[in-house]
Amino acid sequence: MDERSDDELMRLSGAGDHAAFARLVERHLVKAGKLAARVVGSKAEGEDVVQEAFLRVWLKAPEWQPEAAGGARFSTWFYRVLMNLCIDRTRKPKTAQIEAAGEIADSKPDALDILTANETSRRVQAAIANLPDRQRAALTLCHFEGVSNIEAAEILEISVGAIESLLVRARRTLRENLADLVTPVGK
Amino acid sequence: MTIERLRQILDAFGADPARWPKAERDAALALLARSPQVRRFREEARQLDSLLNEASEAIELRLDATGVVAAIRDATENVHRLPKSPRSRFPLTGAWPGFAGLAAAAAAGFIVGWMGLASDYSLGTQAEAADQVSGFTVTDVTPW
Repeated sequence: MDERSDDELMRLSGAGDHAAFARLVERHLVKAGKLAARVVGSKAEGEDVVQEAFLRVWLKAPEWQPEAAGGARFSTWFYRVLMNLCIDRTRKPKTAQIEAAGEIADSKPDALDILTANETSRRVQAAIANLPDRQRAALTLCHFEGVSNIEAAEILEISVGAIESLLVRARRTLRENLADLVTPVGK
Repeated sequence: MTIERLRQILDAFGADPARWPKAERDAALALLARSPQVRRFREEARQLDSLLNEASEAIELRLDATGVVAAIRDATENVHRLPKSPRSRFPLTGAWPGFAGLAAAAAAGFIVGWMGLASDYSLGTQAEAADQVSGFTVTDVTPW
């Protein structure tokens, strides 16, 4: 197990050490990939976004300021870059899919390509995919990735109160849209 | 801690106290223990948590660290290896010979016309001359 910190791996990466960079990628790849896939609603696009985020890591490495020297914590900075790329990606027109318009069933055609096992899961995934970008990002960070509300606020560059507000709206919308899937709780 | 605040916490973070804001957790748990109404709210939150968890099956990525690093290495090394001549740095590189030909044809036509040597030439022959200089076919040249 490699005990070197992210900051140390960034320093080595900045000096051109591909092995150190590979270790950094390996450490964050799975979490980043899942997070991106959930936020953009597509595994393939999520993987593209992750590639781009790691390219930015490599380009940033030579000028990286470690946390101890007053810089950002690597994971916070990296997930901020990733989330911004994800949100940019969800806002871009999907030109390739427009060409295949005859096969498009709804406005978020690839929202369901994160394959799920059954109809209930597909409905939940679709409901998540239809949330506004920042609500979906907040829910993904806090619920699926277990990021604390404080770190999620730093990643999305908003206040802790704003994170909570995004989560409340996201979960209330989901509860309304999935009301038929839950058992009513007695008053 | 009020019932309204605890409901807000449940709506934001779900039923698992481990996800609740640390500073409010103990007070929230104490209220939960004595309020049946809050326990109903928590049950609603738990049901939504279950749906979300059920839908969050493992996403199998095709990416691996070696592939990501190799792709980035290729991309960045290719950027550094780009030749610095104008032909490769500008996107219209392939059009330069065409532009040069058109300019030469236009200049030749102007000079010939100005010297009065072109009185017997038709537009067609000018177009043919342009064709010979620029490599364009006659149909590519708009008569003027």
